[in-house]
Amino acid sequence: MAEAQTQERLTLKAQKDALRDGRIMGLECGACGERHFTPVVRCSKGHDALRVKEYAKEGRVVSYTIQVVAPEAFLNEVPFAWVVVDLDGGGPRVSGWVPFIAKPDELAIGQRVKFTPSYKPGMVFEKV
Amino acid sequence: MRKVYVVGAASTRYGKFDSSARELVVDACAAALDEAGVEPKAVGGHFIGNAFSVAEKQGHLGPLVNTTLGMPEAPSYTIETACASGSSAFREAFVNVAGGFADVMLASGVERVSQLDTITATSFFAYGSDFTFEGANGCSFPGLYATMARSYFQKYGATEEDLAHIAVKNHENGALNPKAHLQKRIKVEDVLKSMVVASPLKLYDACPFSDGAAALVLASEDVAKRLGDSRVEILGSGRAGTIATLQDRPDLTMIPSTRLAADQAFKMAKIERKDVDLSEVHDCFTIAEAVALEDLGYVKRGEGAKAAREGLTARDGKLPVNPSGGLKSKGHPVGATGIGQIVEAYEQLLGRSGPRQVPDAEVALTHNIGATGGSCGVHLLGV
Repeated sequence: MAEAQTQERLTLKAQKDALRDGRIMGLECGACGERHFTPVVRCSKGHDALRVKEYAKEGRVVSYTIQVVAPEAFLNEVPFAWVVVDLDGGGPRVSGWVPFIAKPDELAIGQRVKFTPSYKPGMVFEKV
Repeated sequence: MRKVYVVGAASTRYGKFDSSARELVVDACAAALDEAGVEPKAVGGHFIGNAFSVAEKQGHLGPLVNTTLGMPEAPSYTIETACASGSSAFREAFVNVAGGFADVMLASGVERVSQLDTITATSFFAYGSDFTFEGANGCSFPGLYATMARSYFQKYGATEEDLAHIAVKNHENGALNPKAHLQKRIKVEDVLKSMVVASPLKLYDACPFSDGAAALVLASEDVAKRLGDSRVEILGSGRAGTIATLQDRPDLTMIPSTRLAADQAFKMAKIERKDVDLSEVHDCFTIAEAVALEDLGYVKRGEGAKAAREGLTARDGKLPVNPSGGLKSKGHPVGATGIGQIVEAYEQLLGRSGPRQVPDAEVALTHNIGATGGSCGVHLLGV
């Protein structure tokens, strides 16, 4: 017999609904503490003790690019910065976009940013 | 496991064509079978690398192609691993012959995207990444490699000019390749002045969207020996994956699946990195070639970006990389790319590459990446 599961699931829809409410929800491994934003059913070490967790809204830019040609939903948003962000308190790493950034020197690796709920597609961040 | 040989190879020119994908791939397959001297009825199966045939309102390419080739009974499989579809098709054909399930297999790849406008084509390419968390979150496909490039610059102090030398070197080779999409030489200034696509990457850091097809005939040792001397042995085959979504990786300056696939291939081949005479490396963007040289174990971390600038990877350098012109200049017909790399290896190893020939080449490596490395195939071939 398998042991009683403490495993929790996070659907993409539930995650998206939470983002609309301004909450960044992901999964944390109850066995080793590994954190995930893109949902998984096992952590990278193979543990199946994932729990839904709300993460910090602020973090630091790890890397970025300036988008002048973007996927269809973003055609009216260019130019903007696409950013990879390490959220405070030990992650996880997420990505999103910062509107109105047209040049690479208007942003920097290490810049503090904050998630801002929006009617726009994707996860919008702004500089802190 | 049986020895497996490539006994025939062919490719269309890469570029922008009016022909449909099925016509392009039939042309390449017919030419490869003809060159091998193999009757279509002798083919035990056909793996086709293709990513976007639905853009032409056609799925299930295999039976159409096999019927046209006069081998409708042969089983066919379309393989999709984004830009690595070609090497994945080759791998499965290799496995079939090595495992004794067939004596002759066909492996091909094809793409046709020139009928799509730039925005649609950009979205199709982005579908190969984790579209929910990347594309639908604002990132184009070039944007992902651009984000890796900025991270790489930060970590190692490399520059846009270093990367520009990779483009210049690959165009230098592609200018000598009659099958290449962009047969022209460029200068470092051309790259640096070209339009920004996704900072810090510019138009000339990126490969073109190409149409094209390529095909290979694989055979067991017995069959290969009957067919004559135009054969190249598959010494090693490696396939690996890595975390699909770029943002989930702890280090944005490497693609771990390349190292895993390369280690498998070298272990199978029982040879060392220094034994390789030329490499066809997946340079969808200049940064991708820089990172690949490190992931393949050719140079130390942080040294990949300056390899072209220092002449190491030139055709007459110590480590020739992309003598075909690479994806950058030869072109990138997605599903065909991995097969086309092996066509180049085959021709180089048989001394048939004309002015871009790497002298006395005996071992070649091919490296093919899907998306940002979620799929990777590495093969070693030798004579």
